[in-house]
Amino acid sequence: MSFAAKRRLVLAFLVFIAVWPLAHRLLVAAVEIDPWRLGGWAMYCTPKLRVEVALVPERAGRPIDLDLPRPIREAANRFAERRAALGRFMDPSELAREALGRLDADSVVVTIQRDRLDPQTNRIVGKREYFRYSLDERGRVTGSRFSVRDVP
Amino acid sequence: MLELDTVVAGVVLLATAYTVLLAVGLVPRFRRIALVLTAAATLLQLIWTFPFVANHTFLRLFALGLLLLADPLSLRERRLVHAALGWTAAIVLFYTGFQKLVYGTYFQGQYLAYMISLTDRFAQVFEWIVPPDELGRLKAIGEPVPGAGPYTVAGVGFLALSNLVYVVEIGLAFGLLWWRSRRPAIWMTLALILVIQLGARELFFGLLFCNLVLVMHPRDAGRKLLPVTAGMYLLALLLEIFGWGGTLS
Repeated sequence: MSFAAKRRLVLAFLVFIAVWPLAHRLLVAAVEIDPWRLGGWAMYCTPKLRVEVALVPERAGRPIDLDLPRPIREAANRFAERRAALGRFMDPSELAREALGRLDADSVVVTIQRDRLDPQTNRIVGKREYFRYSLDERGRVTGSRFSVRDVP
Repeated sequence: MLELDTVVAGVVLLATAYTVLLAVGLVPRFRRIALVLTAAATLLQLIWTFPFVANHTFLRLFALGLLLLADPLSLRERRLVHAALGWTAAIVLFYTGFQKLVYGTYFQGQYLAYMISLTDRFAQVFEWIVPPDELGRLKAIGEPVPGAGPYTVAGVGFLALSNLVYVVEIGLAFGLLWWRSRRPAIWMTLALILVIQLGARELFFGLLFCNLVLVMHPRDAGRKLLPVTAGMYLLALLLEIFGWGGTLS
């Protein structure tokens, strides 16, 4: 590789690392990726707070009292960790498919709660999202988010 | 259990590989191959741990990638990479400050108050500037659940210190770029990293960043301080093995 090509490559690299943190901030705002991850240099800007994920199986549209088997709970924990890092790039439908495949339920409600430190009120605030999924005749998972609430 | 064993084995394997490659890299004729293998190991680590990748892994990969680009026999290529490493350090330092500004959690000291509330280490670091009743109130907040707070401190000194963090980070980034202020900016950046380590134990990021900043030193101070860096890693290893210093990031 010629010196000129290397110089262009270095310049492109420097432009990339100068622009990426701005894109990173937009991704945090838009899809809630983790400010601490993915090279945005936003460590120690906002607390690392867990994302809580819960599953509620339903039959005929009503919640049923069912102990979730261990593999489902572990899948939910793995999903929570990945959702915390990658935000809404991690869709809960795969988790719902896994749950519906193992549970005797018509549908499942997945709730995702993400907390953050609000610089306006100086308090921890949360946002809880509710998704409902079911399996169609072909075994495909269908559903979407149906509610968003602020916590508290 | 199997999953945990795999992670531990992976960490030990990577740590061993990096240590061996560092030793091999000290021999000039093997430096290039050690560099290639270290970059490959870092890339594998990044893929293996994605998306839970520590930011210093990206920084290390950037530095290794730049070093790989230069022909060691070409002075102008070495200068190009040298400058690029300096710019990388300045850009990263700038953004560590800029992001604090953008997130808005340092204006009223919210983030530091949160850390004081949650960790004894931050509380000990800031107890000299936080009034005792405020310190007690923050510690009493408890778990950071929705509604918890308010994470603020009534005290001008604390607010000034909180705002000084991003001002210094951004200011030093510019200081590193201007040749007249570079030398004092280098030492001030090292001092800043040292002070930050009192609260935030980010040893791997801290040491890597110190070395990146030292690349800009006109008398090659980074190379001279290599035994100190190696000693710090050894100390960190001992602390980790014997559990003396808590968790090091």
